[in-house]
Amino acid sequence: MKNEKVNVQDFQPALVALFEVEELEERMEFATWGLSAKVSNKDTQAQLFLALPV
Amino acid sequence: MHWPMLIEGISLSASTKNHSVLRTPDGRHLRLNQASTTLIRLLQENPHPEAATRAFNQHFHTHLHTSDFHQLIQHKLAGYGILATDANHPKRKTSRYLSFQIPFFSPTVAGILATPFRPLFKPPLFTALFSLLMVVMLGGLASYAQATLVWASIHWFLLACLVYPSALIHELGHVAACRTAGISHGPIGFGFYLIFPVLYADVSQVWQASKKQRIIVNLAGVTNELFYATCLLSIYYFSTELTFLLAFYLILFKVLFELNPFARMDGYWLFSDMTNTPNLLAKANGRIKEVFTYLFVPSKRRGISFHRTENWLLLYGIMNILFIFIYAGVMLNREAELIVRFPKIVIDLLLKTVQLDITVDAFKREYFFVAIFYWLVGSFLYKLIKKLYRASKLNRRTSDVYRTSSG
Repeated sequence: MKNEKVNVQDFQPALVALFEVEELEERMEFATWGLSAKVSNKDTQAQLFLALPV
Repeated sequence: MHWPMLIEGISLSASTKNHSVLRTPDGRHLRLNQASTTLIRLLQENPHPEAATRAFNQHFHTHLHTSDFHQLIQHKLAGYGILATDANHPKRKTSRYLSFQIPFFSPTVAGILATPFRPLFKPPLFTALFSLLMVVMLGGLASYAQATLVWASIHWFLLACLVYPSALIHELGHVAACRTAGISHGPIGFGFYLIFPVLYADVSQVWQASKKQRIIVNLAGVTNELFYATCLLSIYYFSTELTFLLAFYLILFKVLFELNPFARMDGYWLFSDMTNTPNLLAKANGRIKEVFTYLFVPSKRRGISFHRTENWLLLYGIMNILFIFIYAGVMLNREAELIVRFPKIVIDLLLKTVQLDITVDAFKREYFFVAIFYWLVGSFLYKLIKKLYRASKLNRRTSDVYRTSSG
C-alpha cells in the first residue's frame, strides 16, 4: 500500500510536469509626458528635452 | 478534502493553438497549456471528487486515488485564487509594476471618450492607416535635421497645451482598440512606473484575445498619437506657426521611444506578443541568472540548453542590463560632481518647499537624470544586498542542520 505521506509529485513527476500554469503579468499600457519646457529669466534661450524613462 | 475544488466566476478562453488563458474572479490571468486546460474543464464538468478523479484517470490514462488527484490539483493550482481552499494557502506572487495607481476615468467614461477613435482600429483600415502614419513618422524624423526651428518664436504655453494631452490621446487609442475588438478593459488613470509619472490604461483582459487583436491594441496608442501629430503638422502647413511643427516633432520622438522594447512601453508588449513570449522581462532575467549560475557558480550548476529561443532571450536580457550600465557610466562620466552633491540638493529643495520658498528655477533638468541614476543604482544594490542576505541565511540554516545531524 502506498505511503500516505508521499506526494504525487514524488511518485508521478512526469505526470505533474505535464501541467503548466503560468501567471501573466498585468498589462498596463502607459504613456509618459516627455516634454519639459523652460524659459530662463536671463535670456529667452529655451531648454527643451524629452524625459526618456528607463 | 474540500469539494467542489473550483470557485465560481472563472472564465477560460482559447489564446493560441496550444494554450488558453484563464481569468480569475479577482482579475488575474493564467496561461494554461493543453493538459492544464483539460484539468480545469474536468473540474468544471465534474463537481464530485470521485467522478472528477475517474474522468481524469480516463483522460490521462492514470490510476490516481482521489486523494492523489486532490494533491495534484493543490500542487498545481493553489494560490491563484481559483480554488475553494485558497484562503488556506499563501497567495502566489502577482506581477505589479505600476505604483500609486489613481484611476480617474472609469471603464465606462474611458469607453465613451474613446468612441471617436474606434473606427480607426477596424483591421483593414487600421493596417492602411498605420502604414501611412509610419511613412509620416519616418519622413518626419528624416526631415528633422533640416527643420529650421526658431526658438524665439515658439509659444511655450501653447506647446505644452499641444503636447501634454498626447498622453491621454495615446491611452484613449488603447481603449478604443479594445472596444472595437469587443475586449473588456479597465480604467484610465495616473500612476508611477519606476519613478516616472505616467498615464495608464488597464488592458489586462487583452490576454484573452487573439494575437492579432493584441497587436492592434498594442499599436493603438502610438497610432492615435501619430494621427494627432499629423493633424498638428497639417495645421502648421496652413498657419506656418512653428509651435505646431515643434509639437509634431516632439510627439514623433516620444512615439519612437514608446516603441522601444526594453522598458514596459508599447514596444515591449508588441515584442512580447509577436514572439509569443508572455512575461518577457521576467523570462529574460531568469535566463541571465541561469547562464550566470552555469558559468560562475559550479556548485549550483545544472544542465543548460542553448536553443534559439533561449539565445534571443539571453540577448534581450543582456541588452536590457547593458542599457542600465551604459546609462550609469555616462552619468558618472558627465555628472560625477552633481551626483556627489545631489543628496544635499534634495535636502535643500525639501527645506525650501517646506518654507514655501521654492521657485520653478530651482529645479534643473540635470536633477531628473541624476535622480534616475540614483534610482537605478539604488535598486540594483538593494536587490544585490537582499540576495546576499538570503544566501547567508540559507548557508547558516544548512550548517545548523549539518551540525544537528552530525551531533
